Amino acid sequence: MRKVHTSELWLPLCLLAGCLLLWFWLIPQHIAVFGGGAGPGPRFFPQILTLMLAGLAALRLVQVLWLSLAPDPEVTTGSRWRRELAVVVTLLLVYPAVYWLGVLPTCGLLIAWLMWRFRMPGLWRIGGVTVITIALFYLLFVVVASVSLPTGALFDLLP
Amino acid sequence: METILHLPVAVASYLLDIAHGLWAGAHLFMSWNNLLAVFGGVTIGCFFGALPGLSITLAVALVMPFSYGMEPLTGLTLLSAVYVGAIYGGSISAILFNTPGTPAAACTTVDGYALTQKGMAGKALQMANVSSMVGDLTSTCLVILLFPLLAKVTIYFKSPEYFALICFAITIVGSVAGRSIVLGIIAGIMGFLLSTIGMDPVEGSGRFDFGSIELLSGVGFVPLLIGLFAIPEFVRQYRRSRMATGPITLADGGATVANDRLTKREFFESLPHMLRGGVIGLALGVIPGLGATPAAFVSYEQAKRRSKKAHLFGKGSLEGIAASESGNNGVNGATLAPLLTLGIPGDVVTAIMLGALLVFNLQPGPMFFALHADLVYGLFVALLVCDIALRLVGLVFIRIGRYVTRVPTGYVFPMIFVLCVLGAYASNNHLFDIATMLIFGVVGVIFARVGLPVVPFVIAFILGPMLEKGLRRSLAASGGDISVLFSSPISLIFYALTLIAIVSIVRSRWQAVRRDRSSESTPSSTVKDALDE
Repeated sequence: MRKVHTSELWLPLCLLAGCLLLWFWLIPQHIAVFGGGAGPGPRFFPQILTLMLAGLAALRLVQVLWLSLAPDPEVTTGSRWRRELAVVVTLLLVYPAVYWLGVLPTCGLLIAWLMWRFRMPGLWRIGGVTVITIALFYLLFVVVASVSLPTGALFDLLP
Repeated sequence: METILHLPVAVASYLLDIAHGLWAGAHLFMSWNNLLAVFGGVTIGCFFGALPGLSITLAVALVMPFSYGMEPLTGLTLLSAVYVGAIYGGSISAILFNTPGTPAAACTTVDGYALTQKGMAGKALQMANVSSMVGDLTSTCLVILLFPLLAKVTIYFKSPEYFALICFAITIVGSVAGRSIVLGIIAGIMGFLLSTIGMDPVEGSGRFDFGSIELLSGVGFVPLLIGLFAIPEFVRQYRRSRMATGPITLADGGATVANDRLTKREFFESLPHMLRGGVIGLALGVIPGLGATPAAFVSYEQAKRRSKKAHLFGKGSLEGIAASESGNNGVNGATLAPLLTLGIPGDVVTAIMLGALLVFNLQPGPMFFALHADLVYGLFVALLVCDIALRLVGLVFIRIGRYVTRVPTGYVFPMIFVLCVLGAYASNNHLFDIATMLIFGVVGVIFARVGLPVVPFVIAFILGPMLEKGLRRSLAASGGDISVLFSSPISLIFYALTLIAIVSIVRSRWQAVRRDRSSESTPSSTVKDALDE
């Protein structure tokens, strides 16, 4: 039998833990049942799904532990995937930035910062492309599609 | 005898009804907005398709928020046009750079790039363009002919049948999409679970909303889709660019396109393969989960078996390009049939179209054809016009395709990311949707890492409320008797199909594992191995 990678065990174990969380806390605490309705209530479907998920997670655990599964070539190596996750977690900062600065200023900063991170040369080029792109997006979303983009909490504080 | 005499009359009446429907659909379609949507959509689709890394799904998802403000037919036309354009666009980078722009174009790469190396890139690109058009036209015409029949059959579908059909669809999609059937079905169940967030579809009580008004209306489909498909690709390209010392492009190399035109003889030699490819695309397109990639490979294999020049396949065959491109484009019209008649999307793009229909307050299903026949025929007319637009826009892209793929990623991906942020916000005018998009970006990266396929997750998410309603209503009507789910012949057929499909997929995968083990030492990158897969 081939050696089991610990990374392959994570998924079924996390899923089983998630199922326990769903069964004992999320479903009883966060689904209100008013009673009186005919047939199965609102908890029925999530409960069935949780049971099925737990069963499949257990099956996957058995597969990983006992069967000789070919490792997936698509799966990235540990250090690489941690770096990828770090990039995405950094991108999560976009949300507070949009909240405080507004959509368009955040998008402008984002384009400039990302172009620099993508190793595009020349500050003038980065600045020029940023300005043109933001103008284009403003035209597309605000003028053509009539989407009112929020200005941000910082600008609301201004007198 | 009387029945035999009535048959021609019945067929003539059936065809006349279709002709009337198409006339009414053409009337509804013929406006400048719709024509603009067709040409704009095909151009956007070709652009996204030609760029390796930008998926068809991402193209359709980014366009979707704009379709909300349009008339239903215009919005659906735009989404269909993007889809048609993107599938064709994938062949441009496949032929010029040996890099398929979409998975569906992988089969085109073998012969296409071989022709490019021989200095016949122009012929290859023109053949890809013409065969995409012919394949799509063939399957769309057949769908138009068969659609009223399908619509009549689906009237017999009630809650238990729907339950069986959705189980079938998710099992097939889950089995085909991932590296393991178990992982595929796990992804599907997670999608169903995610769909339970928000208001209960039967009683209206809140579920998993944690007191948040945004969560009470459920997870937004557009931000979920953008996050799952765009962010992981963005992160991959970001990592790629950070490893390089300077700006990088999506595809390198590529030959100049010589002025070598496709001759009439070459076209007519490949025509049977194109027509067959369209029919194969239709047959595989109506089955949930299969889609364009297998259609291209099956069509290629069939063409190779029947061609008089089979020895050229894999070494630069125009017939090979014709077969694969007509096969993958043949699914375009076919995927609409289960969507419009049953409300069941076969892939993520049709799931997006289902989402758009729901936004327009249109519920696809057995009654959809009876209530909105003009819209259905209008959409078919739009697909036919898309094919003409594909030919025209394709001719332009044959010239500029090589420049498009050489655009540095430093320009493309920052703009794509910002477009994702704006698109997620514009879908509902809520900042919460930007957060949803970013969170599902993290989920997408984790899914890719642990090997969970995204496609069954998304399709299950959109079908979840329908499955739950079907299940609970069936059980309520039968007083909790679960045998109601297995009582009708249609349901039993779907359960049997599900079982057969699982057994055959498990069997073929097991055989593939055994074959891999027996030939571990030999390199396996030939077309034959790809076809066997």
